[in-house]
Amino acid sequence: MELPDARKAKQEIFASLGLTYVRTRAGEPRFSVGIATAQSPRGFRVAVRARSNENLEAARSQGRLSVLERYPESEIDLRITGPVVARTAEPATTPRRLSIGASIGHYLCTAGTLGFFARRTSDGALGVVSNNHVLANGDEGDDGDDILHPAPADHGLQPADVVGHLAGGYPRLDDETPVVDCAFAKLRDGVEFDPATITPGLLLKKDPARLEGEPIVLKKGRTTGLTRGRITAIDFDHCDVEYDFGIVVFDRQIEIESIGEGPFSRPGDSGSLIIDPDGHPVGLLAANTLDCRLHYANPIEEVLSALGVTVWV
Amino acid sequence: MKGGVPLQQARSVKAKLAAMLAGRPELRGIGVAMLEDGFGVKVNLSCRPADLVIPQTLDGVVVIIDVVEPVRPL
Repeated sequence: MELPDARKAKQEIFASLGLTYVRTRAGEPRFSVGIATAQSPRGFRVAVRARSNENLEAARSQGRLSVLERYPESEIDLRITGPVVARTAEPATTPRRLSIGASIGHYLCTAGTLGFFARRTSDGALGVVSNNHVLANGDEGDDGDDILHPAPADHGLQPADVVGHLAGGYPRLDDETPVVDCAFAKLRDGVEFDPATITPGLLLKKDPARLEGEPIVLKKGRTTGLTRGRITAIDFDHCDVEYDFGIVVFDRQIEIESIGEGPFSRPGDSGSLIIDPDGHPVGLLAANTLDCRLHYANPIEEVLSALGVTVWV
Repeated sequence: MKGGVPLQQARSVKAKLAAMLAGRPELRGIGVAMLEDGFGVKVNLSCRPADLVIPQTLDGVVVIIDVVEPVRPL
């Protein structure tokens, strides 16, 4: 659901559960209610957290949970948390270093994947490339908008986690014949990054892959990590992709099938760079079928050309 | 899968099939299939209605037909 609807539902559930903003008395159900992100890049749900199974059953027997039946299951994220305790500060962790495959997103998006680092040809600016629907929130982002690492769905917050700013001239999805779902964000000064390492033994190469035979490809994504697939088709036209705002029909896509145990990609892997086994770029992952059997990527040459950037390693 | 042809031959048959399938609501995409020893054509459909006949080969090019689920952004 949209954020305003989620907020309204949250208030309704909050009231029906008998919660107040003052201290809970002994014996009262212990619940928290908030807004959760949904799998859809721009969707939200209501987060309902019970401290224990006993709390949940007590509220159910008192009829307080009947309010949840007014909403589809997919709109409610109900979990049992166990006790929530205040803790003293953990030791500081080492500074984060941005890398290929990291969680990233526009401040209004949920989460996607950092595809690769790039240098803009026009002015030499250094930045990152991912999907339009990750960095520009599906054509809605403006020049200079904050880009977060980790992404909002992974608890990234403004201003502490701002690592870059959207470059406004990205190719729009609302185009007559789109081929790419991509955007570039300029890196903020002082952000540490590793532009080359995909795994300790595999480094990204600058030159695009040459595709022959039934090519095996890899990708490193925010959700599924490093996975393998096989290219089944190139020059793939009339590819209907169902965005929240409507269907976009792409031409010249790359189709990939999953090989191995798990799917090649899942939601949150959007924007992953697809490479050949030697590390040469192939494409930018953008979509998949609902059953995660087939996956679609923009050709890397089209992405670089549309954004006016080169791969930075 | 084997039976591949050169890229340009596959592209030509892809264009011919795309014209044949233009306007069919079942079409979910058409591309050049990557086979072990060359190229073919891949047609993705949402379903296979009885009135839609697609040959398994066209002008000597292998045609792969696949019924696929809807595609969504990740």
